[in-house]
Amino acid sequence: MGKNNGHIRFVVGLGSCGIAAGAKDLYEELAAKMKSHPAATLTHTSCNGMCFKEPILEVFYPDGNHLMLGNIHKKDVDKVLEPLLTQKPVDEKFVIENSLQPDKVESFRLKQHKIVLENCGVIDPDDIAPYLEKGGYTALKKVLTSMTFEQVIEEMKASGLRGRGGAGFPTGMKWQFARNTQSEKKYMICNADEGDPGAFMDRAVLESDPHRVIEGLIIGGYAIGAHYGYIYVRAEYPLAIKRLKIAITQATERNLLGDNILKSDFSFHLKIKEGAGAFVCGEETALIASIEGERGNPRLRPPFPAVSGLWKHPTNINNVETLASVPWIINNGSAAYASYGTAKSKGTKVFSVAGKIAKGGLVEVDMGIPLRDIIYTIGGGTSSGKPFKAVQLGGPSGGCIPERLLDTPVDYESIAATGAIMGSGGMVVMDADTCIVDVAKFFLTFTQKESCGKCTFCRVGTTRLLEILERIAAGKGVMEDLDKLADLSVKVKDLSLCGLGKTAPNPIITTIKYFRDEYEEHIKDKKCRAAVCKDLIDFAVVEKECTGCHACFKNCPVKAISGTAKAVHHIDQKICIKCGMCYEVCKFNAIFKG
Amino acid sequence: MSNKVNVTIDGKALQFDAGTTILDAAKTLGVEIPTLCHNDKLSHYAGCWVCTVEQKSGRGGMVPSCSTKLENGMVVELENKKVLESRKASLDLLLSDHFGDCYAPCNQKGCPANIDIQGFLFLESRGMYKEAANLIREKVPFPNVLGRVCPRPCEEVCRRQKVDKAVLIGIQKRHIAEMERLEGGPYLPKPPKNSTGKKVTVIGAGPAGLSAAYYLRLQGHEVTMYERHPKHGGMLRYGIPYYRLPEDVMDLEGDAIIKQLGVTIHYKTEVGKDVDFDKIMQNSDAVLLSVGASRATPMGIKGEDLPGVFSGIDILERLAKYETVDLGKRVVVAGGGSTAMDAARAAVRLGAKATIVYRRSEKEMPAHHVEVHDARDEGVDIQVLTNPTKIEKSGKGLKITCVKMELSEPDESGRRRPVVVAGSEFSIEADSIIMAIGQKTDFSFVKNKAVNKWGLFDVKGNSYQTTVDPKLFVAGDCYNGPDLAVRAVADARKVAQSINQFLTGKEVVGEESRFSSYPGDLGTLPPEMFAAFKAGTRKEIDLLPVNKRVGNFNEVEQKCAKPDMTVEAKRCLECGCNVADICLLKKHSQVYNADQALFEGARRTFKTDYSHEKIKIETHKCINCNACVRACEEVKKCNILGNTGRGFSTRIAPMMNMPLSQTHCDGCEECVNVCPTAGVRLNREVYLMKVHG
Ligand SMILES: Cc1cc2nc3c(=O)[nH]c(=O)nc-3n(C[C@H](O)[C@H](O)[C@H](O)COP(=O)(O)O)c2cc1C
Ligand code: SF4
Ligand code: SF4
Ligand code: SF4
Ligand code: SF4
Ligand code: SF4
Ligand code: FES
Ligand code: FES
Repeated sequence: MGKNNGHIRFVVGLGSCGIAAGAKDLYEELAAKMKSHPAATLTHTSCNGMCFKEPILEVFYPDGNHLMLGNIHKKDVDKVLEPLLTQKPVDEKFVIENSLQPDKVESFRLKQHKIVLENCGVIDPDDIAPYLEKGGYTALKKVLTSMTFEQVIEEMKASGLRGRGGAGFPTGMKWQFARNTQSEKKYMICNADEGDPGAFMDRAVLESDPHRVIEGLIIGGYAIGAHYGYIYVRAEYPLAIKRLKIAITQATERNLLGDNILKSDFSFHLKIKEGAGAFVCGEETALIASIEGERGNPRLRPPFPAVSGLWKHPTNINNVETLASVPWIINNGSAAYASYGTAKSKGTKVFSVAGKIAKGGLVEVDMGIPLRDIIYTIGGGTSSGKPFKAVQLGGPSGGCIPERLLDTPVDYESIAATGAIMGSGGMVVMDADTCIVDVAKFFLTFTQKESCGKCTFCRVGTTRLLEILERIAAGKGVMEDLDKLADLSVKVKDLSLCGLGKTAPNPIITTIKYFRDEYEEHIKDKKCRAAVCKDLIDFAVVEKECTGCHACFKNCPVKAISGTAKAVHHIDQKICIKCGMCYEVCKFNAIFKG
Repeated sequence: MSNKVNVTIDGKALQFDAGTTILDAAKTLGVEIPTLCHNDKLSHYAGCWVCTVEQKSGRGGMVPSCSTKLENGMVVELENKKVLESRKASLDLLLSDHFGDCYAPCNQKGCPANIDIQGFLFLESRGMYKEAANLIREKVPFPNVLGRVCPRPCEEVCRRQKVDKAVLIGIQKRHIAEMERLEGGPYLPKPPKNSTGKKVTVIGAGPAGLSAAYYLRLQGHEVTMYERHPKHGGMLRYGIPYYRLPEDVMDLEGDAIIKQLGVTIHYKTEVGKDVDFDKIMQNSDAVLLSVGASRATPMGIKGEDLPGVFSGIDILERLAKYETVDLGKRVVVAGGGSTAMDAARAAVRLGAKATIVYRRSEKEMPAHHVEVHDARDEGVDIQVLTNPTKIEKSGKGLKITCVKMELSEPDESGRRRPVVVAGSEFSIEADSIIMAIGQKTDFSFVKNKAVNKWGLFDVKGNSYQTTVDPKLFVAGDCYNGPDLAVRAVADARKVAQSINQFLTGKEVVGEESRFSSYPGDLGTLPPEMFAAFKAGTRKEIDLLPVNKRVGNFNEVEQKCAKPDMTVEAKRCLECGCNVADICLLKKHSQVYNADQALFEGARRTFKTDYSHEKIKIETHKCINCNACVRACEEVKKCNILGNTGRGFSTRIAPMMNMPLSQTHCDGCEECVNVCPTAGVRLNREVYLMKVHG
């Protein structure tokens, strides 16, 4: 979309994150105010990954110059519109990048390498044209006109691409298995269930570049010999579903989907299935059950879906990001792809970086870069400025990696060696204000609720693990609880059927491994150093700081605070429910927490 | 492709048909692997993980044997330590989220002999007295005797208390036996025709000795008994007065054991005096000491040897033998146990005014509170925290000096010792004093067998087998010290098993402890459990009016009216689980010694769907194995049952959470047939018809 036709082009990022930050209001305000400026056009794109700067507005000038503004809202339009239209300087606080100031670069963009995200935040996702302009569907064309399915599979194998859905299984091999099973009917499924709390890579790709995923899916169908496909998207992603639907219609209109694609012998029909929102439905066999209309419970493998999957037909399931990598590999060749990354982990990986991070957002990096580069160079360190403590990698199934292991390269094997997993790429950053027991509790609460209820160890075992954690957080733990946690964690891992149960204890195992002292503090000293565990902390007024402003008094939900205006206030410990409201509202640091 | 696979199971190279599951392979090897969610008729599920084995090959790890098929080169271990621990952990976890009683609390927690109370009440309510009596005899061979003397710990835990009052249980045993007697009973089971040829000598024909003889005979062993008294019964006859246990009842049930089962008994024969203990040992394959604890322990105070000072146990024995006893008008009894209560109550019947002095408080009294209550009813004055220190002659009678006591702060063992209150001395004038402060066993007749420092025998574990000689066993009061008759009977049943194990060359371990799931004590149970029951009244048994108890030893508890007893029997809530005899969860929990308390935490609660007339759902006993769901879907092709909720609160329920009666369920029983627990079960009547015809 480089051409401007002599116009000034305004582009607003309308991904879910942008919209949540107010991008839609910004867009509408701009639309209203720009009507009278025939020299300017307004379009939209989706997420470019800089969630911390949303809403984002980019301006492209006919002279080739370009400006990226962030944190800009509807109310700012009046202030900036005139200077922008006349190419005058705008308030510096909005400017992220300006082609006239080449040394002003957003460090967030350094060290990134975009393959999967190359079009994200660049093209208009509701229109197939810009995708085609960027070389979209040339890979499909190449495959259909010049490659046998064996060649496609060989190409995937040679690229070294491994599944991005979590397990990291080589995609080429997976396709080979599905291809090897003889059957009239096969299915190719895209897994867009993305249930990890804190992960939004797949959503961003689907919202920003839906055709790329569809193209990868069709190529996969060709390779394994499937003529039917499903995209299983969680119902909580309405924008992604809407854009996928548009994309499917557009692709079908252009004979990129349907019968005899691009006049070849190959036909492929694609449907969207909206997921019911259970985390476990992202597991392959549960996902299949869910499409079949059954309760989404995993079942034992073997038989693997490649042998007996959807309605007992051979089925291949790939993650969004996996499929989004496929067209690039076909277009640029496996060797180009394999030149990035490490010996066993090739290419790039997308991460969603969230939590206590200064610059949270979507990040795509070469496999093998040290975690430290992601957290510090790209992410800008902690948002609070307090010391970094740990990063949870792999969502609730993953583990907590401490500061001293930050030089670990992000590749499947190295991450696994820490006890965490690459997972689908969710990264949650924690600073000194995060309690490690609380973190384990948080993730266990999630997995325990999301268990499908089938396996004894997952259904009951995770509940018992959570109960022990709750006991420790409440200051009622005993040292034996640590052994009990460790022992039961191993059993839950060993004796559960699917990945949910098999990984659920990882947050416990890694936090005990790296932060045992904090557990012991909770148990022995009844102390929570991060002042998070309510039962182990008190709130009290620091008398010499209290100005008697009455703010805490007014905000305490249980009226535990007494004091008249201008006099020192007092918290009644017997009434206090430790909600922390007073701590939040006091402007004079007069509330002590600890 | 070959249709055989080569595998290694427990170190052995073996060949199986391709597609065989590990579970089926193990079956052919004679290894029994526990299963819960698996059923041959149904698709694989792999949810309970109790069938775990360890795969040592490939990616390896713990795998569910029921659903894992053998593959070429597979290496499997069926029963290593990790496997066994995993299975137990699976059961521990399932039990931690299980709400049910395998056995009713009265049976499991209340009755020391674990009588199937719910069972006999059920039979009784249908007029099946003989069957009911024999169900009791499985645990206690004399229902009539025990129905009269047992202080009914069972009623204390009876769940009916949550509705109105406990079911009348104790007395029902007597009633059943009396009804059986009217039908010509007692009808004891017959011993096997062929004797094992093993000779067991039982020394002492009290409750323990008689019971042991009963169970030993039913096992086919030959039993010879020695009894120093002229009649059997021991403490039941000579320690419990006739107003509690008429002698004809003792005669009837004791004789039945001896005569119907063929026991040789030598009365008036005291071992150590009339026969030599070592001889007995030589001539027997096993010897049981069940001599009770009938020697009164002296108090060691001044004046204990004066005339007018009696021992309680002595007095009771003399009364039982109809000897004349002159206690005078004012009788003091020292002690707080059963013997003290009975001695005082006997004194009342002889026309005296009785005062009991006891050095601790009422809470510490070893006598059952019912006995204390009855004594008080009859006008016995009970002075607690009072201790005699000296007895002197005073005119025609005695002057008994006492001190007041108080209880110290609890010591390390939690016991509160009585200490003398300084300056609290006072005296009581009395015609006689009965010392009933304790009883012990005199084992001097065993001569060269070493007893411990308390003069008792040490035993191995729960086996009742003495450590001094493998063929020598002990049971009853001479093992426990003075205790309830029912406990002596329970001991005896267990020792009979030990002796049988010993005689048949098995490891002597006694009776295996019995697994039973338990939802909690009365106070912790949810009200929904009792919502379906209407409050009614308990039919108390008539008692002989207090003023009619003097001058005779007539039985206090009056005859039971049959209609009343039938109504009473029907008051039973039937707390014990309907499927206890076939439940796989219970069976495996027993074998794996599973521990319901290990993972104590949040737990499902009582929830039923009894709407369907035939199929009953007890969600609180469901283990989410989904067998019923699969059976309904795959076998019956109906799809009525399914899952609701997620995680810990996942539950099995009829479609749309409707009551089962409102679905199209036709009661085909397919779900019931595959349920390993009582999660879905048959209506009780239908079930009993099926099992018992
Ligand atoms: C509990 C659970 C949840 C999962 N959720 C997802 C998911 O949301 N998206 C996804 O792509 N894979 C998910 N997976 C992994 C899938 O089972 C599967 O491995 C993946 O879709 C395969 O695609 P890939 O080979 O391209 O990685 C999940 C696995 C488990 C055990
Ligand atoms: S491990 Fe958990 S989520 Fe997976 S099948 Fe078992 S119970 Fe269901
Ligand atoms: S279902 Fe089984 S384990 Fe549960 S109470 Fe009944 S018999 Fe016991
Ligand atoms: S109600 Fe029946 S089964 Fe339950 S405790 Fe009482 S007697 Fe026993
Ligand atoms: S009895 Fe009813 S619920 Fe059970 S399998 Fe038959 S039809 Fe289904
Ligand atoms: S009710 Fe159903 S799920 Fe529950 S234990 Fe019985 S068969 Fe299993
Ligand atoms: S998992 Fe095999 S019997 Fe349940
Ligand atoms: S409690 Fe069972 S016989 Fe008394």
